[in-house]
Amino acid sequence: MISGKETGTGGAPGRERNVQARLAGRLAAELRHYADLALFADVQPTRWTDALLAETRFHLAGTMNAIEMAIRLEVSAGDIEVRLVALPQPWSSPALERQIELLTPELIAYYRLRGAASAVQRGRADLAVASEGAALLAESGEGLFGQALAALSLAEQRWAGPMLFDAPLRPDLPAEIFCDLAWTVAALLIRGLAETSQASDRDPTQAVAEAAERVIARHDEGGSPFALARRCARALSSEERLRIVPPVLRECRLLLFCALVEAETALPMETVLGALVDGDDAERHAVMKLMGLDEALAVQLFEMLSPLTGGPAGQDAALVRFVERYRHVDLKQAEAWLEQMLVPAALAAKLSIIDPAA
Amino acid sequence: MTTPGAAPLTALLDRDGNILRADDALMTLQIEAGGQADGSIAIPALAALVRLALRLGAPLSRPVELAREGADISLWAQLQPEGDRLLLTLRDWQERKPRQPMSRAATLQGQAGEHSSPGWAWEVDDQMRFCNLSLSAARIGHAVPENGETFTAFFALIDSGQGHGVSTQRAMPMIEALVRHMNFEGQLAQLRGEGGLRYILSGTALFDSAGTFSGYRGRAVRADLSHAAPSAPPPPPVSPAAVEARENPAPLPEKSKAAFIGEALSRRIDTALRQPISRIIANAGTIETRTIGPLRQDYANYAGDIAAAGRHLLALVDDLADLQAVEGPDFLTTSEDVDLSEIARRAAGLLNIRAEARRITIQAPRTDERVIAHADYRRVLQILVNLVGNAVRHSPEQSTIWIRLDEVDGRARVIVADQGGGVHPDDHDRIFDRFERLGNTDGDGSGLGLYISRKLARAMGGDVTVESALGQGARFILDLPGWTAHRNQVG
Repeated sequence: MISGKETGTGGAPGRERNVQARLAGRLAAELRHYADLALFADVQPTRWTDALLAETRFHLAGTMNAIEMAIRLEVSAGDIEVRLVALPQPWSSPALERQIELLTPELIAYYRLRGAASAVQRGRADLAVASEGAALLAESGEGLFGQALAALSLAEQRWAGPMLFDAPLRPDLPAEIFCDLAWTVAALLIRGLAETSQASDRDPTQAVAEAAERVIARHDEGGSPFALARRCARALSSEERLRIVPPVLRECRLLLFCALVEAETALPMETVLGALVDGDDAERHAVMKLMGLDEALAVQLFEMLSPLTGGPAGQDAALVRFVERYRHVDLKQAEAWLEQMLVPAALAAKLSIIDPAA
Repeated sequence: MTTPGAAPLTALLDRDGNILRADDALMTLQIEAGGQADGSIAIPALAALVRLALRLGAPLSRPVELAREGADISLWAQLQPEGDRLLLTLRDWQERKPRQPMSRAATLQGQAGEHSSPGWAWEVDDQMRFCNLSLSAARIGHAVPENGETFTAFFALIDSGQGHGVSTQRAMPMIEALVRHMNFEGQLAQLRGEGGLRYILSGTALFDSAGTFSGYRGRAVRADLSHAAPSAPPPPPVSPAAVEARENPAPLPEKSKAAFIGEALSRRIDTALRQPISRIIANAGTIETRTIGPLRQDYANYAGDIAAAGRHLLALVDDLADLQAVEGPDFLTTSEDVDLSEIARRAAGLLNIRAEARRITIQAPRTDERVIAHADYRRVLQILVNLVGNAVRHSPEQSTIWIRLDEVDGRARVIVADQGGGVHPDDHDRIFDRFERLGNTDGDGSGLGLYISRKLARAMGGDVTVESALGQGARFILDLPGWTAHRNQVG
């Protein structure tokens, strides 16, 4: 009402103030978002090792390509289908590179963790592991765990397969991420069709949106390696979980290890993975200590993570320094760290806003 | 309510999330949460999932935690849209008792064979006054602080100009951490009484359930003992001179200076060399594995060569940093009675996974064996990691590496023997030269490891030698002063 009055009496000045306020708000939001994007664009090389960046980009492009294929197949309007065929495929992942601001911070954060798990997985492919998961099955038997482990192994193999930028990668994503990406792909397809449309062509928005809705409704987030790793961990008792930690680490199964930590500590596995990849040595030590890793296993995990953390691996002195520091980590400190991490995220976020050092 | 069996629990919800029907166990949870039998889901974690599924229009399948009196429940929840309705299925019901951190920690410690932490524990409140102390003077060897006594009345914090550990750049890690309510380590402090004993303090910030800072809990470790191996077995009788040395430790500045040079150089190397080289390796590796696109085989091979050369350079950079410290004019090693058997088992343990990957067996000394040497625990470990690591690198698959102990004429020895290609007698001295790799051009190793190991051994009054012939494996011998010889010498 106030703005109406202002419009009526003052006219332009009132509208101008509103426009300015909206612009200022939008500018602030965009600045914040571009700061997040700057991280993704490798401004901080220590945080984004090249291995991690390459994996992240591959997973993003691959899952987009797969979603795009699914949406194209779901479009039922004949004329739109014909126009989509004329659009180069894949369209959305190259188009995203020209409009990277479409990526939300949540999406980037998720793909970063996924890329980290995948990079370790790829490193594992070089290992002389005698038989896939055999040690794990021997430790814990089959049953529910065996079924979940088999499904996880298959999903992990997809991640470690040959990677081409234009190839589709099964979009085994959490529902929120899948929806975000599906609507991003849909938007890019609609814009792409608009760029090549004739004056007589009808608006493709409704047809593409309906197709995207059908794709979203069919999505099963339970098939993602994150979910499958959780199922593996849940299928075991606490004693069994602690017993299989050594073979899990010897087989470089980072996701499964994080799921075991989640089951033991109630700390979400994404948070655990974040602490291992993005945290400092103190956080990594805390996770290791909470799982009761001995020095040899701690070294194994330390070396497994080095492509992501940029830490030295394989050198005598560095290895000794690491184990000496780990040896002096107090379990009470690890427990205290865990307690802090279990503080509700909303509270932690508020505290960090009030006091950046908190 | 009892725990349901293995059968899944189900509920059917309308498009607004209201319950149309639900299994009894699920309905009980709903009532416990204050909800109505035909109202919307009131169990917070499930309500959030239902809202998410309705918002996204997508099926969900993920774990949820429900808080109940006595125990939390962990379930696997699936939400599947069915026309205008939503089918909620809960399976894999698991009760999780409330966490009891310390009792669980004790269990894990036992399983991990954890060593007890060095030093003694302290705790202060948000006013930095000691609280919850249960110390005895007999245990820590001097007067204990009183509950309520101010921290700075007991300890005088020292501006070291250079701390230890993670917070190396901070002169007063505790003060800086206190301002930010963060953790700290490496704070040098001195007792106000008791002859000015020096401690290295570390602490973890404590917060109450509302997230408010409530003090610190930490450990105080004697500065003169902070390097000692807490897991070492009880040492044999120690000479009065050694007691004197521990009571009146060697002046810290000399050691600190050496450590400072090493750490400062290491930091500079890290930023100036290690990071760029790591990037070269990562990029070359990406190209080699064709991660981001197809590439001709010969170009991929070139990238592989670049990555291998980069890894070699990285190893060299790390060894050079160590070499700089070892060859410094004021390089000192500490001396204490150490059990070579325990260090050998530790080195074997650290490298066991690497050996297993090539199906190599490492036979470490038995736990009942014990050979005491007078040496620097950390440096002996570094030497043995080098010797055993070399043996793993040069041994054929499915072979064995033996680590044996020996005592001869007051000397303590560790022998690392492998079944590798061996070393020609003409090369026995040459392999300890700097950058000597005996024609090994595979990019593995910098050619400094054995040189550094021998330097370290000699700094401790010992040596590293080799006995070998081509084709007959190699025996590397670390020789150190035994504790009896040391006792005779100082006695």
